[in-house]
Amino acid sequence: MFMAVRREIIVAFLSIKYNIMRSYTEFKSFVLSVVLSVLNNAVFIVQWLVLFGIHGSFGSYRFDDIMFIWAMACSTGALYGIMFGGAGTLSQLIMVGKLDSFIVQPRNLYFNIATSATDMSAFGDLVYSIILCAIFSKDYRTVLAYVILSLTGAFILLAFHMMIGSLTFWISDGRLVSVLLSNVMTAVATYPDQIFNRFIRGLLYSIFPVGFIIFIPARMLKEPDMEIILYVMIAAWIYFVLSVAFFYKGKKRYLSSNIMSSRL
Amino acid sequence: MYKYYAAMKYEFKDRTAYKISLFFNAVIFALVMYVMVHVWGYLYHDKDALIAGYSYQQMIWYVILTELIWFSTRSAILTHQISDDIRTGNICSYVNKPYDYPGYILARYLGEISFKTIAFIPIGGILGVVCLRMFPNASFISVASVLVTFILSVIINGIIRVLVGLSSFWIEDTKPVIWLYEKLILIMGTVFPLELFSENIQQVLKYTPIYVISYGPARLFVKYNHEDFFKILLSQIIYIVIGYLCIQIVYKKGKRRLHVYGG
Repeated sequence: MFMAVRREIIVAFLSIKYNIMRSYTEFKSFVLSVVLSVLNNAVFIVQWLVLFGIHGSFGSYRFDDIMFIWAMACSTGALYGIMFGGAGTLSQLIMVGKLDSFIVQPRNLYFNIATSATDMSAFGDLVYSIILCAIFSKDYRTVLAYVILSLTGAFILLAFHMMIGSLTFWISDGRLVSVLLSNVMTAVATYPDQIFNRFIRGLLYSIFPVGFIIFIPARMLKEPDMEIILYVMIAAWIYFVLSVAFFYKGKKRYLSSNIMSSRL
Repeated sequence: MYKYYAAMKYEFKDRTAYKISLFFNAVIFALVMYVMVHVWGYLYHDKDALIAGYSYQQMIWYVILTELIWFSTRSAILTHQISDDIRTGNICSYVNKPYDYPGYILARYLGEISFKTIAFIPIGGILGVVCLRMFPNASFISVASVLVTFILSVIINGIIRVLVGLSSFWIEDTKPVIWLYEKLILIMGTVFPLELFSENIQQVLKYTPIYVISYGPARLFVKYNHEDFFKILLSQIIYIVIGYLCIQIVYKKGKRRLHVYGG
């Protein structure tokens, strides 16, 4: 059992490594994509400077808190995009019947799909989030919390995307629902949770796990608390286990379309 | 012109087949508006206050209109097609056709977004009325002038995106440039009006596409005056003429870089 898990982790890392190497092949395009992605995120600083110019704070949030929210949003999104970029394609794979080429491979199906692709723009997000963390972090505890919570956030995002992707096993046009739910996350992720009412906040800490990916981690970057970080890790584990169960339950409903395709 | 009209018409008809996709896009639009209403609701804790000369109602209508422009002009054709056609060499099957390729793409873009816009306008209107519990304080002239400037803003947006797409003759991937352009329009002119920037920045922004694409039409809707209307209209016409000339020059130069290997 231990050896099987070890082998699976090694293969997953190799898969991620080759995806990253593939991104490098068009080097000029890669560098341009990173630079523009950083600028793309940095433009939002203007928005917050203007909004804080109107009102000194958003509830208990100040400008540096918003920057921590952005640091977490970018780092979790980037790590997810780099390591598990394939999870976002799950609903498409199910819909067109291309899951067969993954099923026949002697690998863990869940991680095989998740690590099958890398989002090139995610590297720019990662660079931007490291820059923000370097500017706003106070000491090594913030950096440590940033690294741990970015990883837990990436795993929660993986779980979330695998769950919404798995909806396609039940709903015929689940891809659109998946895109919708993913957009819901993006729309609210970079605004302070205090502007929403209790009901919405409840959703953000349950169905849409933005609270565990961004809001709590952003607070932890300001004042790291190992106990709360441990709770976030437990939440990540619960989301992950739920997504694995949901995915394999849905997989039983999968019908092959007999499309001839191969993965090398 | 008939061939471009036909391209636009068929693209429009094609889009009507994707009603569910449009429905989900409309939900996302409504959701973003919901977030923006909460943000501005928080900033206007005193609902009678003025921020940069805008009342709460004016600000919400301004944001609804700019978001409407932003959402309805996001085009898959302009974001992917030109770039993909050039990269894959597919453009060869267009250059020998009896039409102008950029014109053909623009016509298809107008067909694509017309369907979205027709669907989004009532959604934006209903959202505004539900959130504010009142109708916008707009006259017939202001609505008509907004409609004219709105159509021209959509065309300018298309021209700029075509220009970015045509840069694929020189750079491999134009998507990051499109993202940056979209974000600049979103942050500088969509989420709040230009009056929230300092006087110097406002003067600079008034010469950028932000003024003619999002700020201009939305400002006319909430604060109409004849002078502004003619100023915005003139700026838009200048943008369209110069933009279209640039497209022709870039396309001509780009075509010279095209290498066809057959197949």
